Amino acid sequence: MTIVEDVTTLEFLKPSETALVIGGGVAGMQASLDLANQGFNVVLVEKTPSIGGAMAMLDKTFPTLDCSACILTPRLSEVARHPNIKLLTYSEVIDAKGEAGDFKVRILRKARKVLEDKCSGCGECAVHCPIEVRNEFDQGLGFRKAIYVSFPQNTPLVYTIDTENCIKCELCVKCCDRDAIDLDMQDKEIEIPAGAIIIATGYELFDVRKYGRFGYGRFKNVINALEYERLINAAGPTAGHLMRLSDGKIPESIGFIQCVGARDTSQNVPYCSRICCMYGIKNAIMAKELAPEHVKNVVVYYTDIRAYGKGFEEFYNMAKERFGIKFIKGRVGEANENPINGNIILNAENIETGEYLRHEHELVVLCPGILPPKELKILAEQLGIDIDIDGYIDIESPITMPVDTNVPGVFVCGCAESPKDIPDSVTAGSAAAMRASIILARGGVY
Amino acid sequence: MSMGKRQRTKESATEDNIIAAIDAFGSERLRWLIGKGDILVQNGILNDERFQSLIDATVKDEIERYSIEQVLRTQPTTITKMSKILKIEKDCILWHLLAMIKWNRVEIVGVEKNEYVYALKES
Repeated sequence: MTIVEDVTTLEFLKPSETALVIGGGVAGMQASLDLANQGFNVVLVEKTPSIGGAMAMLDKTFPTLDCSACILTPRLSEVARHPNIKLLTYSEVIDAKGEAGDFKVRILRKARKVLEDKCSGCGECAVHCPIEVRNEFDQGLGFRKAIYVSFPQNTPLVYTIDTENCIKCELCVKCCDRDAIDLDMQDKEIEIPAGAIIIATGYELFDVRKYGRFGYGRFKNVINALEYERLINAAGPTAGHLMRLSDGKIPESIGFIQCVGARDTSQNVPYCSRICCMYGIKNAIMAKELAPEHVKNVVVYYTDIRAYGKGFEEFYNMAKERFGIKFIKGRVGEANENPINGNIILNAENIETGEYLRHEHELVVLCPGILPPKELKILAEQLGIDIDIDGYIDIESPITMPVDTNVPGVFVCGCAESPKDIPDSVTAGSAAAMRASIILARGGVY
Repeated sequence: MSMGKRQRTKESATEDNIIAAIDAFGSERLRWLIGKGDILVQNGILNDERFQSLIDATVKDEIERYSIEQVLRTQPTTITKMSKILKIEKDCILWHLLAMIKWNRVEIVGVEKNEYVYALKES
């Protein structure tokens, strides 16, 4: 049940008591909660219609194989209900002026065309909407309507109209009992004060199409890791049933290719993305877990297995010993399609044995590295903060000030600073909150 | 409208297609689009080309989905069998099934060899 509230107003905010957090992923949410629980006001700005970030799309986490949604959803709820956190979803930061303790930030509130204080999230509008489009949250593998929520735990649970595809047929207006649809709603700009700013804008995946030789986009049975996560997710387009996209069959043999768009100077990604080895191993294990009678052969083609963290080496060994996952050290040169059955033939070299390999798999999953989001450069320019050579937010010192940017009062956490897994992102969120709270605790004095 | 269990001849296939088309044009989705289309074009919200393209795509989708429903009403079955009966490519059938799963018209009820078995969802 949704309780209709007064429209959120932000006029009461004082810069000396308020922090702005940009990005509603796991790091941003952690920072917001840590600040709000100390009694400070937090304005959390998220550009998509829901908080949750990349973690909301995942099925399981490594190395514990915990359900990602089960860990995340209570956090979503806690953030949404916290009296000290003002959630501005479907919004973007346009500009920020001022200094530590006294920033003025302009925010664009994009028009959802749905009134947040009236929508109860019942979904009746989507049932009747005649326009069906691919769902970006499902990486294009599932469907949504022009009026939609991205996933069942969308927070806030308010529908959004995709104006690009909506044809304004007004069937949703007719169906909505609460008169929550306003097709004439316009974008608006607001300005809020903030004493400290935390950037937590997350990451995006490397575009695996840049490796044309792997056949992504040409061969139906070559997918990327996030598409795979959605396929195996119980809330995903196949209700958690692993299948390949050419014919819906359960693949008997699956190949995972690591380091696609990582450690490759020719693609301007010389760095290691830190998480890919572990999520690749996790996904390989999940293939065997989901369909053990059908999935017989799972092979991971890798450069190095970087299992650096707590429990990671044990997880890697479990994959080999308990689940029988095969690991071949050698980058894949090329993928071709078997025209008869749609299987994918990989050409690789096992550099440990010197053997040239030609393996046929029914499904191939490319494991891409991660990149800073494209919009991060623009945001950095608006705030006057430095970017490093790889496009991430630069920090003052990795040892003494690992979350401070070059602009006093502006902090960074999560994958906006560098590739990180979930625990490290949460830790960085808390660290940024701590640094921000010093300014706010002094009444906005830096 | 539904078909009972019987051999699928050329005549019965044509009849099934007609029934699927009737069901499709009876759906709210198509009725609303066709009914509202003229007004949306007249008011300049949609141009003729976009409206026609939208209608064509929606008609094709709905007829094929109702055809799939026809087959599943006979008995739950796999994509390979549906493809053989309906003469629609397997990947096309899969995409329709993904949409039908999302809109609660169909569910996966079992596995046959290495394929999932789909059935109509009880309403």
